[in-house]
Amino acid sequence: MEGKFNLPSKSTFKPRILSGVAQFVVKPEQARYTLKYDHVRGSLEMKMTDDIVCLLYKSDAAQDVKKMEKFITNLMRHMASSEEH
Amino acid sequence: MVLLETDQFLSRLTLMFDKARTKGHVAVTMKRYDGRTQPPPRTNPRPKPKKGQAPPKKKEAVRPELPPQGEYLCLLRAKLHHEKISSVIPSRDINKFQMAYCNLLRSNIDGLKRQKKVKTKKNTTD
Repeated sequence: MEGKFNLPSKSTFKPRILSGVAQFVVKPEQARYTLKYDHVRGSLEMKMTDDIVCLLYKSDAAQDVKKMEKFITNLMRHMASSEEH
Repeated sequence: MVLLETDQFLSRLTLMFDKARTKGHVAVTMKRYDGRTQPPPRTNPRPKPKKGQAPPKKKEAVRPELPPQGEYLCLLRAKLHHEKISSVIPSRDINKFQMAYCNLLRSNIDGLKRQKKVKTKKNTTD
């Protein structure tokens, strides 16, 4: 495994969305998305990995929840579609 | 890991988020699922035994190839402490599930910082 899992992200959300969906398109069988929410700490962590590349986005801003919803909607449609990527 | 129906999964997930308000975190994983319940059969043949060694016993039957999967599903897993639940969503239920799932996330992820609106002072030049 070459992914670096604990690197805090410094990039903005938009490139993460694009690269996250792109990662799924490249390796749809391995790609998975994890959402981790800690209410006590007030932190939200989103991770997308295919065992080779790992994208991580950490946030504590409420405005990112809406963006995350859009991302999930998009990704779930890709996952359940019968089209071969 | 308990496999639940979508409605049950959502209600259990809501309970998980409630429990996590005092301690711990909820992790929800999402991935594509092709409906297989066993791994794909091995393609490489087994290596031949060397001279002097006894041939391997023919115990294992050759597994038949799995039928091709036409429809893809979406597999969701959720974890809080040691409690794990999962659900499989077919493509026909995706729209309905998405709306319910997004509502659930919006109502339960409410411990994040709200952005303060910066009031811009009007330039009052006399």
